[in-house]
Amino acid sequence: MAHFLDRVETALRDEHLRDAMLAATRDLASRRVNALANLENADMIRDLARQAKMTMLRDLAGNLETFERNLKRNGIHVHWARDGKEANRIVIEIAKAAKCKRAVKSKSMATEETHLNHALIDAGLDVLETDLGEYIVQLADTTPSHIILPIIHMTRGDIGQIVHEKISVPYTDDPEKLTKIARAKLREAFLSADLGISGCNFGVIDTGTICLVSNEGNARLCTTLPRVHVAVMGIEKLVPSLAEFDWMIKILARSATGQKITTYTSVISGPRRAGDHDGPEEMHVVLLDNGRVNILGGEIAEILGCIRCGACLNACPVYRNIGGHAYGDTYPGPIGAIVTPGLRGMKDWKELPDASSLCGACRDVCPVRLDIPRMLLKLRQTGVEEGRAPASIKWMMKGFGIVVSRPWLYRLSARWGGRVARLLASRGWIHKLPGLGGGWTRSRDMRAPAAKSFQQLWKERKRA
Amino acid sequence: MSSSRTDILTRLRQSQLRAVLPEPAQGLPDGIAPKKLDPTALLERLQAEFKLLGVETYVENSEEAVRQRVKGLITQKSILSWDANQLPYDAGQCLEGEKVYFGHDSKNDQATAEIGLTSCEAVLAETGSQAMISGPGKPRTASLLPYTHVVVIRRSSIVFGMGEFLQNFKSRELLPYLVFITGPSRTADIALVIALGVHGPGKIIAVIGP
Amino acid sequence: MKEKPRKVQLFHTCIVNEVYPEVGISVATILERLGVEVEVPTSQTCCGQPAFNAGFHDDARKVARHTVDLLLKSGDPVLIPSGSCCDMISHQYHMLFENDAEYLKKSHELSERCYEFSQFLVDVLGITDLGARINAKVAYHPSCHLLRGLGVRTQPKTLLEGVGHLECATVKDQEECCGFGGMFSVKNSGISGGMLENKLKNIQASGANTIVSCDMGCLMHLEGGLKRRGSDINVKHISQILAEGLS
Ligand code: SF4
Repeated sequence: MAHFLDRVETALRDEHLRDAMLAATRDLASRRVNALANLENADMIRDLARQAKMTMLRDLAGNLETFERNLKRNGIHVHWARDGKEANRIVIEIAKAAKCKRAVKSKSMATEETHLNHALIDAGLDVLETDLGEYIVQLADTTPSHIILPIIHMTRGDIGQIVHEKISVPYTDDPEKLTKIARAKLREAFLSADLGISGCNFGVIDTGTICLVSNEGNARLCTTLPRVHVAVMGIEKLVPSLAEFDWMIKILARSATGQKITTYTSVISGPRRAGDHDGPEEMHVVLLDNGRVNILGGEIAEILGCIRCGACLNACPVYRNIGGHAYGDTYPGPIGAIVTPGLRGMKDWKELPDASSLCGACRDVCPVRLDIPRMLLKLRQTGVEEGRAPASIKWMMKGFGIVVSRPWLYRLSARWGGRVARLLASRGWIHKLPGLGGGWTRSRDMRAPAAKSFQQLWKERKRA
Repeated sequence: MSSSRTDILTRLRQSQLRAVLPEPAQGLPDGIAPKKLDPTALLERLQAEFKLLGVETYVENSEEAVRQRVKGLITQKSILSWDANQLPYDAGQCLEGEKVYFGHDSKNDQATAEIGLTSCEAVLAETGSQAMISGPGKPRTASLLPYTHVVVIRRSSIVFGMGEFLQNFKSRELLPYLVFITGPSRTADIALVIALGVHGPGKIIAVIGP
Repeated sequence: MKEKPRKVQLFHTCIVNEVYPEVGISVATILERLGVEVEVPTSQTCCGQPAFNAGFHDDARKVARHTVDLLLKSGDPVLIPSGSCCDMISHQYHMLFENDAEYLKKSHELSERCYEFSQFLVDVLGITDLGARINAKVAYHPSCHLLRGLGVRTQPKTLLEGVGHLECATVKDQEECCGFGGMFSVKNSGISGGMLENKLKNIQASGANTIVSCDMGCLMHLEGGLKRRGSDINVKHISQILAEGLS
C-alpha cells in the first residue's frame, strides 16, 4: 500500500475532491451547530453521555458478561471474536449451518474492519450492501471515505456514471431517480435474502438489546425479512440501560447530520417470537475485539467511548483537505488517526497522529467530549518512545532540549542561527529552505530573523 | 470459540487495570428530568415536527371523522394492514371492501401493497417519532414495505420524548421489538441531496384521532 | 476582584524574540500606558512546545522545568503575547509533569497566573476601549489554541471593536485553523499548505487589508503565504494595532 504521505499528495492534487469535501463537510458542520443549539440541556446531556461511556469502560469485562447473559436470556446466540478473521469465520459458519445463500448487509464499520464482504464472497455467498452509499461503494469496488456518508467524495455525476455502467440503466445524475433505481434493485434482494448482517450502534447491557440507527430503512429490512440475523459489534459499544441509550440518541444524529433523530431507530431484543409475523427466526451477536482490548489498556482508552457520529471528521481541516481515503484504513479523520494506530499498531501507522495541527476543532464538536488532541499527543509520544521517529528529527529535538534549557546557549544559537538564516534571505525573506525547512518554503516564504532580538531592543530601550 | 471468550475477557481484565480514563466528573445529575407538557402543547409540538419532516397530518375530533379520513386515504388501493382489531377508533372497518394483505400473507404479496396501514404505541412530540411495537396482528412490514404509510394515532398516546416513553419499560423485563420511525425513509448519500423513500416509505400520513 | 496588578513578567516567546521583536515593544508600550510595569526575565527561552508536540516529552520537560522555575521566582502575573504558548504553559505542562508531583504542583501554581495579552487587558485590567483610532479593515484570525485551548473568544474582538475607524471584516470559516501547527507545517507541508490556501482565500475575499491575531506563529505562517502570493495584506499582532492606533 502507498505510503501515507503519497496518498495525501494524491488527494491534494484532486481539486474536484477537495471542493466536494469542503462543501459537504461545511454543510454538515453547520447543520450540527443548529441542531445542538436547539437541544435543551445539550451540554449536560453530553457530559452525562461521556460519563456513562467512561464508567462502562472501567469494567468492560464485567459489563460484557452481563450483556452476554441478557442476550442469551433473550434467545440471542453470542459469539466472541479475537480478530477480523475469526469474526468472518463465525459469520460464515452461521450462514452455512443455517443454509443461507444470499446475504443483505446494512452499513457497519465493524464489518468494514474485518473485510467481511470479501470473506463471504470467497465462501460462496452472495452479499449485497444495502445502504445506498455503501451499495455504490460496492458497485465501484472502492472503500467508504466517511463513516456516515460513505461516498461524500463523489459528485452526483460520478455516481450516475457508476450506476449506469454497473447495472446497465440509462445514465442519470438525478439523486431522486438514482434512489428509485436503487430501491427497486435492492428490494428484490431483500425479498430473496436469507441472511441479514448488521452492525450495532449501541448494546444495552441490562435489557440485552441491540440498537441500530439508519435513515434509509435498510437496517430495518435486514433485521426483518431474512431468516437469520447476525449483528457484528465492537465490544465497546455498550451502554448500561435504556436511560443512557436515550442520551446517546439525543446527541448522535444531531452531531452526525443535524437531524434530531435518525429516521429509524430499531431496538431489538431477540428473534421472532410466537405469533410474530416477521423478524428473523435466528439471531446472533458477534462480539469483536480486533485490537480493542489493547486500546483499553493504555493512554488512548478514552477513544473507545466514540459513538461514531462523524462530527470530528466534518470539523477537521485536515480531513476536509485530504478526504477519507488518504487515512488508508476503515476509520478516517481524527477518529482514524487514533483508532487505526490503536487497532493496528504504531509500526505502520505512525504518520497518522502526526498529521494534525492540533487545532482542537474535533474535541469541541465531539458529543462525548473525547480529548482527541490529547490522544494524538500521547500517540506521538509513544511513537518517539518506541524509537520510531526519524533520526533527523530525533537529533533536532535532542538539540532543542539541550539548547533551550540553557539560556546562554539559547542566546548564542539564536544569534548565530539568525545570522545564517539572514544569509539565505533576500530583502528579509527566505524563499527556499534546505532540509526539513523545505516543507515550509514549499507553499510559503519565511521571514528572516530580525537583526536585533527583542531582548536586545528591550535593553536599549531601558538604557535610553 | 469459548477459548476466544476466555481469552478476550482475561486480557480485558488486565487492560482495565491499566486503562487511562478521565476521572469521573463531579456534580453531574443522575439523569434528565422527564418533561411533561400539557396535551395541547404536546399536540402543537407534534404537528410542528411532523411538518418539518414532511408528514402529512390530519387532526380529527371524532372517531367517525377518523374513519372517514382513513377510508378516503386508502380506498381503491392495495393495502398491507395491521389486523383490524389492532387499529384504534375502529378504523379496521375502513378495510371492508378493499384489497388487503395482512401479516400472515407471503412477503412477496405484502410487498405489492401500495399503502401500509398501522397504528402505533405512542408518538414522541419532541421529534415527531412513532414508537412502533410489533407482535401478533402487528407486522413490522406494514410500516416498512409500502411506499405510503398511513398511521392512525391516539391523541392520548402523545408523550414528549424518547426518555419519557422508555420509562414504561422496566429493565429486567423482556422488551418487545421496538422501532422509532421519524418521517419518511431518506438518504443524503448522493451529494447531500435529500431523497425520500430509499427503502422504507417515501410518504407518511398521520391521522390523529380524538 | 483583587487589586489590579501593577507589574507583570513578560514571557515574550521565542518567535517574538527572534523574528518579530517589534511586537514585544508594542505589548510593553500598551501595558506601560495602562500603568503596568513590565519586567522581562532575561533567562527565558521557549515554552518547549515544538518538542512536546512532536512527542519528545523528555526534551520538552527540560525546557518546561527551566521555564517553571524561572517564572515562579516572582509572584507577578505572567503575560504571554501568544495564545499557543500560553496554552502550553498553563495546560500542557500538566501533561508533561503528570508523573512528577513536585513540578505538577508548580505548574498548576504557574498556570493560575498566566494570561494571554488580550485576556489580560480585558479580563484582568477591565479595559475595552483604549481610545485608539486607526484606518484599517481587519480580518481577525482567532488562533486555535487561544480559542479552543484557552477559551478566549470575545476578548480580542472587544478590543478591536473599541478601536475608532477600524472595520472588522467578515471572514468565512473564521474559526478554522490556518494550517500552522508548528512542525506540522513542515512535516505535513502539503496538508498545511492546503489549509493555508483555504484560509487566505477566505481572508482575501473578505476585503481586509490587515490580518490581526494574538499569535505570531500563525501570523508568521499567514504572512509567509501572503508574501509567496504577492499579496499586500499586512499581518499584525493585536498589540501593534492598538499601539499604532494610539500614536
Ligand atoms: S470521536 Fe467523537 S466526534 Fe468523532 S466520531 Fe467519535 S463520537 Fe463522533
